[in-house]
Amino acid sequence: MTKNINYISAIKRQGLLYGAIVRSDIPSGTIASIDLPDFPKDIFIISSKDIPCSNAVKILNTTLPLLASETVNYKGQPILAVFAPSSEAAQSAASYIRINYTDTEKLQLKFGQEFDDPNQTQESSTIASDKKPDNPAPALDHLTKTVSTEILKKVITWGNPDKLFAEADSIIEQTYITGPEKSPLTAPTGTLVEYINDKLIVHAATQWPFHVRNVISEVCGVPKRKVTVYQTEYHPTHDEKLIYPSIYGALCAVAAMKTGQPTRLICSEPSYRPESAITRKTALNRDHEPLAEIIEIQVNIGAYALFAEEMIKQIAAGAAPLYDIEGIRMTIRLLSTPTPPRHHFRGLGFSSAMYSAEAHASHITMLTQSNPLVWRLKHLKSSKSRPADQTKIKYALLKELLENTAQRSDFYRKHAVYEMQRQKQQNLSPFFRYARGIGIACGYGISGFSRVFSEEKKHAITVILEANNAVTVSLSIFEPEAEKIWKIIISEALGVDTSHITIEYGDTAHVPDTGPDVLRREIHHISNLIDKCCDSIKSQRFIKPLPIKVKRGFKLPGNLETKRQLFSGLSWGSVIVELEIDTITLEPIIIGAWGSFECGRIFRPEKLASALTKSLHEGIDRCGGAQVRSGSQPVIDVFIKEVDTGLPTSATETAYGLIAAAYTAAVSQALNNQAASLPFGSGDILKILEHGSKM
Amino acid sequence: MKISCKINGKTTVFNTYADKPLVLLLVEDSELTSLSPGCGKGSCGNCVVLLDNHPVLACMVPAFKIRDKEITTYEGYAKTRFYNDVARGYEEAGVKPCSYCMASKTLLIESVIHENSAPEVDDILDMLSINKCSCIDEKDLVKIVETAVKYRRRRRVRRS
Amino acid sequence: MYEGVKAAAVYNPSSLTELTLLRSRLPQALLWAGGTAIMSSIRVYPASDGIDIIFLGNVQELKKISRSERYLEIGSQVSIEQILKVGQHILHPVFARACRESGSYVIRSQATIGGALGIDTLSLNVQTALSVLDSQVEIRNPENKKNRSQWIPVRRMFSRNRERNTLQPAIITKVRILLEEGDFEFFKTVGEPYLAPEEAVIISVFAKYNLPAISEYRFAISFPLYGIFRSREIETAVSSNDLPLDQRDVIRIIRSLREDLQESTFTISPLQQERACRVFEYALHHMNSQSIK
Repeated sequence: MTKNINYISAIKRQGLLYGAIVRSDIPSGTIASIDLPDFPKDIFIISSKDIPCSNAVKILNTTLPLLASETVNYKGQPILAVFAPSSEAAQSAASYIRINYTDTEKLQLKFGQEFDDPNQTQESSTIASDKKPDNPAPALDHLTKTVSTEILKKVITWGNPDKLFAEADSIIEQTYITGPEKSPLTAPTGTLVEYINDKLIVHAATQWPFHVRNVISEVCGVPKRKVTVYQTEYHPTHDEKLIYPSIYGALCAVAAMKTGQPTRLICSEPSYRPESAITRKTALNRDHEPLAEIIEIQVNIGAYALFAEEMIKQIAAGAAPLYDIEGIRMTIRLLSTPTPPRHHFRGLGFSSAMYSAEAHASHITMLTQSNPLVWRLKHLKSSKSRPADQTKIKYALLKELLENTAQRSDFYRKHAVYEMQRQKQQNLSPFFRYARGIGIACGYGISGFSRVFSEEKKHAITVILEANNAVTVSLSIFEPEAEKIWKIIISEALGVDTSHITIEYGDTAHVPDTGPDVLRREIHHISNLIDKCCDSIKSQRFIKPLPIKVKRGFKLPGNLETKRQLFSGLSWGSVIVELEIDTITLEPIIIGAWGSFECGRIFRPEKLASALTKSLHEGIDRCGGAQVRSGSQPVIDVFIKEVDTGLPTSATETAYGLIAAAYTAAVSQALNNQAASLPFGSGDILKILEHGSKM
Repeated sequence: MKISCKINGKTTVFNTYADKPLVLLLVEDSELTSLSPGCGKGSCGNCVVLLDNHPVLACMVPAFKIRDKEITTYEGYAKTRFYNDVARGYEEAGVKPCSYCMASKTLLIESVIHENSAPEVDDILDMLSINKCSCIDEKDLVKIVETAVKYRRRRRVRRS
Repeated sequence: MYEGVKAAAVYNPSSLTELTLLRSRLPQALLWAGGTAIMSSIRVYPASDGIDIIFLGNVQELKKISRSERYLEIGSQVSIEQILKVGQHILHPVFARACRESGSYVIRSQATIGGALGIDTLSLNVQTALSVLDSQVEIRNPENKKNRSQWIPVRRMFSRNRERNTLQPAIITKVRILLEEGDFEFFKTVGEPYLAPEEAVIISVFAKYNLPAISEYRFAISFPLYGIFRSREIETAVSSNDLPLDQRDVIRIIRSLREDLQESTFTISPLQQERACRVFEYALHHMNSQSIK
């Protein structure tokens, strides 16, 4: 591990070439020609023709081109890379290159327009409007402002929802939209590659070093053992540093092999969250109890379907309601659009799906005039029809967390007062009236990928108990924040002082592959593997001579679909948000957010509290749109339930997802109108005022 | 353009473009490792350095403005005895900035103490608001600064 | 044809005379004050064309603050933070608040009053606040052969149809603010003018009254992307009433404002329009309540 180097930009090399990427400036078309001026000899251009082996970046079952060669599928798609002796020269040279396109007619169409392309084939038929007879759900096109193509569909059914709908006394329907969201450009991603003695030495700010290695190996036609990747500091605010390091690394590697000089590429490229439109229809009986639900989910995944299968699993898990329900039919459609590919961004859609489930529960309670907390306490229970592979919900724990949060926030009293105000249905004139609301949500968060993740390799970590009673752990996840947890686990298990424990990151040549499902697993799953290694060492200690070396990996048994729940390392939470609509500025002002969480065993309570607080803040920013934080910060109160045994789990995604549902419920109460989209800010409030309250 | 300045007490001469942002100069053309370019346009607040003991965002300062000036980065500051006051503030508050914003937040805290020996809560939050990372709650930030101020005062009293 | 990286040329005048001469030679050069607006804009470094930069920070005559009985005069290169420090007891509350809310301490220490007035891409706090005060800017126009400076009211920096006036190639040298006491001053920023200028609104109000009559009422509403909205008719409509304003008068005034905004050349969003009307109404009621204390 290059421990002393923090950032790629800090690595200096003689003769270093700096890279810049030339990207498409249209969403869809064919590259007709590329105008290249006469560059001096020290400026190098890398196009798809320069790629030695495969012009492809393979991500599990999906392949996307490293550089576009003929067609362009989204705006911003890389077409060329330029390398020059300085970053200024590279960017300047890139600005002189002109790309000429044809076939640009297949461009964005506004929602409602007929799409009539004679070249359209059956395979790529589009869902352009809701005129498609068998597509009852609103199209995502109005959200993405472009045409979409369905590329994957899955239907999940349990119980007999049609029969239950036929018996229903009333039906409640609402569509929940999570709009476009891109990661803030806070920390650029970079790679640096050297080609020395037929070997490629790579430094990359990556969470997935083995993927960087594999992509470079396939693109350059170099055996994997001749590609070594060192991780440097990265800041994966939303786990988005998965794909880009591999792409930049491959471009740098091609350039390094072509020029014989070290090459570096640093870019600030945003990541995009998959937008979704989730329509939920719930059948209720005469006592307003839910019987069945039909859920139509459409997700925009951009130009390429990255992690598509896993995305469906996560969305299905998140969309399944927590309340007792005997029948469900869930249809999930992944739609491709000529926009940048969406990928892992605070998960793969689980939190958006859970947002819809919890927001819908609150919507049901508002329409049926029930207290949302009381309703949840009553209906949170196991359903007989729920399949075995669905997550085992800890209902008792959720109820406990709900009560805890409600007590700390004075939820019962506030909800009653605000409900009274809502029912008076007053207009939001600038003066003398207020609009406040309080919303509640509960649920769970997942960590990393599901168990049936299709990567076939067995990923492992190694723990060695040395002859001098020191311990060394080797793994390819660079996560210094989690080191302390791991050291405590080892110290307790083996009776070794934490100062004698070394966590070794190393490079891809020297540490085992800890896998792509590394995301979010560092806290729980790696801790789990370390625990298992320690158990094995304990069983061999005093029987075998030191050093004792143990390797443990993620096992992927055969067919898991029906036997065990899909996700492990769950965390549980409940969040309440109280807000007020400023009737002068029309801004939703968060008064307070209270959260109660259970995330397994806690090793660093202050660190966890800080991470949860940060997640809640970020969740608030996301809910309100353009930085709704008027005046001072809201009260953020976090409670973490202590658990003595077991392993820690990550809860930041739980907080982030639940706050959205609680916020939506609070805004809906304040406005007496269902707020069902994220972000929901001042512009949306104005629209409701103009059209009047609806509930 | 040749530009001479002092970085962490050491005289440095850059041969660079006049309008190159200081953050890129420090990141690309110097031996420093604590700085990352961040957003590059003044919105993340994560590239704070001290320019003649005043906090600036390095991405907002062009090269031509640093001629004959003294620049202190986190690496240089962390070696000074003043850093201990801030470190104790973190320790007593029981919370530290994350690795992403540690450098900037620390220098901003130092700036608060340096500018004002008895800062009010508003002054503290005003100075620190430039850094947008929300890893530390406002009340914890205030606690850290107030503790650091206490130790700085003691240091000043001892010296006098 | 590839021409390589074109380096920017930076000129560092140290006196006003030198600056004026340079400006006449390079009328298209970028005037660089604090640089906060320039460095935070979407300009790409390196610039694709070599630019000329005239850095104003070393011109000593532009860094002075002086005060007479009637006026406060601030050199255009004085930072916003310095203005707040030096003028803390004498600044108009509307102007002080506009300065404080123009950014955090770090930004205010770098941004200058001349730069804040000279931004032609966004209309922000300082412009809005100075529009309602009896303030003037001194400009030096290098095209003026006699090289004389000229004072123009800040209000007139924005033309009748509410577009921004650019002063190119003139240089702002000083800002003069009349030290008059107002009976009511109000300043509010709604939204985030930098991050979301298409939704933000900035309002400033300055009024004097001799109860119950309103002797003077001035307001300015800034829509950052479009400019500053002023209306003599609405100002007259307010000042022709006695305090406290009657609710019917308030409604009538707001209706006029709404119509005026709709007819203006600004293509503001419905949200901005609504915010402008609501905050303006709030300011009227605030003035009412203050007047009866």
